[in-house]
Amino acid sequence: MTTPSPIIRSAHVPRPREETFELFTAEIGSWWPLPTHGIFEAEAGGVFFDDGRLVERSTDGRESVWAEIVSWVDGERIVLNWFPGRSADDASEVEFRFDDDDAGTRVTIEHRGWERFGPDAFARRRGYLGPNAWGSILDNFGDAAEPKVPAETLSRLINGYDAFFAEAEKGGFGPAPDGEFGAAEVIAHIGLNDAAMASVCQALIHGTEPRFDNHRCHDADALARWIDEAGSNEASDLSGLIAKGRAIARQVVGLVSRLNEQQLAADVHCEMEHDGAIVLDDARPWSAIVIDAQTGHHLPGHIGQLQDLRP
Amino acid sequence: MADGSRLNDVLDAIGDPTRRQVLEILRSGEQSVREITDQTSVSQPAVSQHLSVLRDVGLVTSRPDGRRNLYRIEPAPLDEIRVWVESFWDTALAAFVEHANKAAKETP
Repeated sequence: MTTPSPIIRSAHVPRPREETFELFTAEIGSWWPLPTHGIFEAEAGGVFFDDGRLVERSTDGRESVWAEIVSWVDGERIVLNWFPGRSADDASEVEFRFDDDDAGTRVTIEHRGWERFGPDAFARRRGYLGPNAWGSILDNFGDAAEPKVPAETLSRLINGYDAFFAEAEKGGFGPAPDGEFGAAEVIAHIGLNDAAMASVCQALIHGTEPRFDNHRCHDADALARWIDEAGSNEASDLSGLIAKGRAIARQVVGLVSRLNEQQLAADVHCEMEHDGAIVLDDARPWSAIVIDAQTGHHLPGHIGQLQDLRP
Repeated sequence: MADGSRLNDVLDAIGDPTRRQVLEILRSGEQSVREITDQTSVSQPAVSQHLSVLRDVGLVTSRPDGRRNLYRIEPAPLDEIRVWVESFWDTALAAFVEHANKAAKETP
């Protein structure tokens, strides 16, 4: 009896190697099918390469570590100790490789020791185990739809985030007035709100029930978890928190770029809280929330809040 | 491919480290409970119980050999897991390629 051979899968991507690597890693939460291939399922907020780990975050700030990075060579390869839903001493090994390929990049996934594959994590959702649930997906590579989100719309979102994080990076914040957000809470609030928006985008993409509420991004425990996990709870050092916020903001932009016209216009039930009162409990077209409200009111409002925190 | 519940039973069975150790031991060939126990740090009744779980999901079979039973590994259920893991990565990879294709088209 021999040891099972590694599972090797590869695909062609029409982009230069460095860019492909960057998209694969920095936007992993934009493309990874989290509702079906994650720990937190409908509550998933994103997945990130962060601080030597691959970590999934929930919409209430919890973390689940999927893997530890064994080796990372920019633009070339990543080797992971792979243990979603299990402990680090109970892992198999996954390697992602990026090679120059005919006018683009060949992305190769090699999963070794697959007989130890973490079953608890991904066996949770039974629906996709059926014989016809998957199909020959590799055959459909060429069929990627044209992007429906205009570049101008995406730019508004990107610029909105840039302005917010630029304000946060300027620093110089004083203590918060009693009962109000300090700078760390404001940045964490934007991150948790992004996690909630990411989960709605994922639901729209994967055909599960989208629902948006912003309770968790006001929740003291969720905010504390988000700040604590970022490793920068001192008002004087917001860098970890800002990096964490930028990472999920980029994934939200990546997710929005994948939405088609129907998904952007889809009515999503929204339950919004402001100053402790429910201000919206109704369906809204998703673009009105994720783009218009985010860039028109939400981010500018919190930029103003950061400015007011300066002595 | 087997239905989902059978596959989940197999996945649950190999989720236990001792049972995986038993499978590793059986890779070298057919062995008795006593021979398997000698290569682990658990008791013979415990090994027997793990073997019974593995037999229930079809990962091992046994045959009588005189006064003892000989156990051996059955590759078919592991092949089903392999198909499942392959399709897992196919889906992840397809999702990335779709994302990268869109990003490529957006970039001037």
